[in-house]
Amino acid sequence: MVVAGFGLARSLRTRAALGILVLYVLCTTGGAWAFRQILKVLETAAARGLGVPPTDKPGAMIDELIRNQDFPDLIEAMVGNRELVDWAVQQPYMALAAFWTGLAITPFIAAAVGAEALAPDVADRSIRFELARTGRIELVSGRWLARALLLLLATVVAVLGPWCVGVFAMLGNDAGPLLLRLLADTPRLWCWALPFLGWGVTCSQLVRNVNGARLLATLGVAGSWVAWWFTEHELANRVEVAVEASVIGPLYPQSWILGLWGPGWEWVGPACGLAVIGFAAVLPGYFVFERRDV
Amino acid sequence: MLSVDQVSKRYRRRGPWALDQLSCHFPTGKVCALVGPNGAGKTTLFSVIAGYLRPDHGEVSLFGEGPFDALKHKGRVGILPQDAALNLELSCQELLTYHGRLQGLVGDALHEAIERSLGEVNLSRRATDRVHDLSHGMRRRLSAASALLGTPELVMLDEPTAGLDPKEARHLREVLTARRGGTTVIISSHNLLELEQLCDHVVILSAGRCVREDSVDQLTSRGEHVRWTLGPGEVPLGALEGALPGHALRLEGEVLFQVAPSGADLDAAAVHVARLLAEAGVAIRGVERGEGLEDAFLAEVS
Repeated sequence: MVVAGFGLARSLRTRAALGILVLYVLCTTGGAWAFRQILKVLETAAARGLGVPPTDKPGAMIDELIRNQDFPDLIEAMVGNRELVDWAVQQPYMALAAFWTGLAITPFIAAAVGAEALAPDVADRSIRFELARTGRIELVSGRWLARALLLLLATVVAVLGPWCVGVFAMLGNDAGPLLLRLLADTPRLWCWALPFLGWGVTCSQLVRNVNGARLLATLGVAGSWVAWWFTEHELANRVEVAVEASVIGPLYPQSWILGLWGPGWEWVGPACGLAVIGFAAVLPGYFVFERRDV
Repeated sequence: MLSVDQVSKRYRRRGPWALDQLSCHFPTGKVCALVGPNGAGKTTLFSVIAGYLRPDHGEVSLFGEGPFDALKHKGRVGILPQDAALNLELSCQELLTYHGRLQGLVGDALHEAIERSLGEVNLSRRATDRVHDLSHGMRRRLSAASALLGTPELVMLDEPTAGLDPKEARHLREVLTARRGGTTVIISSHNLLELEQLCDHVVILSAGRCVREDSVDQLTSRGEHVRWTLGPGEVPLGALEGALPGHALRLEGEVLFQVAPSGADLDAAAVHVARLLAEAGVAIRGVERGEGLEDAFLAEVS
């Protein structure tokens, strides 16, 4: 806890922490703005087709789209759960867009944040002052926790971007419900980020150079999507390895993604699963770090 | 206290041995010097003792309890690494608070320890300044304060006075001298004159091996050799030999070399020499005991 507390306080003082916050806010705001622009293009095209003037702000067609049975059917075909779709269409649509955008970008940011946990201090040897006073497992756990708390802070601050875009640049998003929904989604996004944070911390233990650690972490995140897709869609369909695929599958964070999206507290179970994977993801790096020279 | 037994270490699988079956020990409560030419393995040995580097062979034992374990030996070992950076964004006080809390200090004990450590390195007035704003020498002193924080039984300092001005270097030497007896201090340095003044025990490394370890007195023959630098005048060599039976006396220009037999009372002999020289009207310009650590060191490593 001492390592985590000082790690967090130190991060908040440095430009690195500010950089993470700004990067996260820019990414979520950019994602929300891209969603707005796509919607605007679609609505303008539809308005031209109907011969009516387009609105200045996009979002006017969303209610119509939701009332149209084809849209929920389309979503159900994608997620395979009607109950989930019925719940989702009642939420502020910007919150849903921001959540799915967050699911896409958060792993990369989390991995980059994790990659900075130890590598810079190993490179400049400042870690030696700490290792003279505390064990390596305590140090790694503390740094992981500090980075996790920093990421939680970034996740909370980053709701401002989509909220501003939804309220001021679009129609149909009420300020209060949108903010509440965005905030309610932050713990889900945070839990989703934990495995990737753990992977980043592992890279930080394996590679002394912080840029190398960041690169390895980012490649690992991208690779996890490819590996998961291969496991779910290729191996699972091969009879001879289907059992192995069903065992390996839950080890990928991506396998838990749909469980995070839904009403009530059902997301807590998958979130706990992700937290366990997040902790386990730190271990491969630790087994090397525990034995390596610093 | 601290023993190193047959420790070997190399940085690459087929690379040269940085430490080659090195064995030595550092006695309890003494101020010990670790000296050697560049590349002899001093910093590597420090790092192995501190657990930063894993030895390929051999064993280090601290307090008779096995290798350094940060949790088991929490607060008992203070280390000043040679080239480790400090966290620039913290203030001196915050940095020491962090280090103190990591080694188990809390509350008033922590505040007192920080105050004392900063005072010992003359940084009390800069306590709230960020490390970033300190000069290189001040950062070095802050690192020393971190090593001295609390009540460590073993303090290991790698080049502690490097980059310090003469006044601060002397002050740090005085602080370390004051810790003699209660704390075992190990200092790695190339400043042999400083080590000669400060240390009781010397370990000399060369090419990753310990070539000699002994007390400073033994190593420099402080108990046997005396070098008198004299003013002009007729030196009463015959009278001196008569007054100091068993002593070998040799005059070279203005320098009188005296080698005493083992166990001789050098203080009593000095009184006789001074008296006889004064009676002969020969001024004494200087007296040095021993041959100097530098000479002893060069003799061992050459």
